[in-house]
Amino acid sequence: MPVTAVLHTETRVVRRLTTDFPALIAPDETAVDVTGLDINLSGGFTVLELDNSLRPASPEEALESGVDEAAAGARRKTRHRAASVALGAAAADPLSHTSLREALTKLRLAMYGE
Amino acid sequence: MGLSVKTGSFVTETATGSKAYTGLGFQPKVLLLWSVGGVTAGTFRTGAYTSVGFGTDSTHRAALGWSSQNGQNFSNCARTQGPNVLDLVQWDVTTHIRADLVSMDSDGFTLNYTTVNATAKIVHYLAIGGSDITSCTVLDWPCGVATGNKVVTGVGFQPDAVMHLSIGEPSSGSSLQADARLSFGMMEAGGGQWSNVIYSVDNSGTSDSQRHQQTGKCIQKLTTTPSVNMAAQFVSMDSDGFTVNFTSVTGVAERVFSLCLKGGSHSLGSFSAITSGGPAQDSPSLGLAPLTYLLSSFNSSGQASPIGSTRWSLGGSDGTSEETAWANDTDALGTSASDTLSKTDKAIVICSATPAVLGEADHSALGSDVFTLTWSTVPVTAHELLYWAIGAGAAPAARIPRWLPVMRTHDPRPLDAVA
Repeated sequence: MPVTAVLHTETRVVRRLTTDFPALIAPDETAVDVTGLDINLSGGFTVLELDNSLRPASPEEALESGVDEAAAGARRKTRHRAASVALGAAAADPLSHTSLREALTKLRLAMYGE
Repeated sequence: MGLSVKTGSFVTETATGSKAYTGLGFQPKVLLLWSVGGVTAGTFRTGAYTSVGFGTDSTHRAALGWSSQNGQNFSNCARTQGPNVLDLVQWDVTTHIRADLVSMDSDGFTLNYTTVNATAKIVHYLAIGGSDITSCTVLDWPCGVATGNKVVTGVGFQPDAVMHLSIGEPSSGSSLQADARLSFGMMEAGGGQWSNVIYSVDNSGTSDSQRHQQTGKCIQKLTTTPSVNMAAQFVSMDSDGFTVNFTSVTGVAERVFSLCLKGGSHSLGSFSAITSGGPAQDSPSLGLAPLTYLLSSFNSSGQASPIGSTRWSLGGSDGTSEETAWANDTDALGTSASDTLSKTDKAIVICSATPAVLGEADHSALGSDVFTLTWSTVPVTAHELLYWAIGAGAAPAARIPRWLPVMRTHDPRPLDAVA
């Protein structure tokens, strides 16, 4: 039975293996026929190189490809936290115009509830 | 009677402790609960919860939950699973309402509320009992990590019908996680199968939610792409369980909770809700005389690929009572918009993101081979509905496999004009 590896195109991290044919893929994915290759994804996030060799994905690749959902969620929270802190700092800057400070304060409250 | 069924609803308790529910008229062997956190039946409520749980006794049960907060600049979504029978998760990844199954009683069942909320929520149920159900249990098992067949054992008997639930969580037992995901599927020994799945991403600046429904798969899971990154189809019912063929895998052994039933007759299939010429609509030929049925829909026509927005309906009828619930989390919005609707006087409801009712149907009749819905609001666009019809006795030795296309009959005459 044909087996297709669906990769995140940019990083070539394997998002899934499928025997569905043709494999349904998203715009940022590439389907590669891996029939006959011994691929076991249970060992962790995996990169399929252009020569069909396999290697473990780096944490950055796993994050960028979206396969590490927990890390992606943590990164979103980190980014939002940093943005909220930056807005708060700008809103408190006495060198900023009062109307801008008020706008930033309101924006921070609306966006982050802080 | 060989098979006893009852659909109904109740509201959750506001104090912890045991609560006995009576009035079923029989001792259930299987209990299915579902809730979208509705407070007033028939009224839309902002903020979306979904819980689906099933149990056969105090040690064989599972409940999964999904939620998404309304009106947030960054989506706030959560999911849960655990050894309970009702589990409404709060979007801040805490438990909202949780109850376990204590016992199946002579005239009902008893739940133990371990977490309650000051506002009581509507819970819908389907209870099944009778001598026709000879065995039933709930199994917690890991999905396949490689494509191909996976033999699942430990059921203790050869099931006739199996319902699957999953939130895509690899750890066994109780779990609360960010991101809202819920997979719901079924398969029966005659080959019928279907599944639908909803997924909302947590902490996203623009809401990121999707849904999918397939009639050729009994289990599936979505990822953010959006795409189906885990799926399985029915292969066989075996002496101690069942075999499914994993057609897509991620390598992560996520848990699947399966309600396994032996006895009664079961039919799984799908049909497209009428879009004009109502009010009556017959389901496809079931191959059995139904005593009750469940309906589910992802509120769309059939789609080859996942589509945007979480939208999901579950309902049913025992021929007398009707229960249905609907949940929504709209995709691609700067401010999240999530809503739910519970109804205790309709068998199924389909709604828009507005939110507004697009279509809703009453149970009309149980026939020798069909159940009939009467659409009080006829949807103007096609919507694919999935059904699980349950009848008495054993499944027929041979009948048309549910996965084959079936010519659906639709009699446009009013019901009272049909002889």
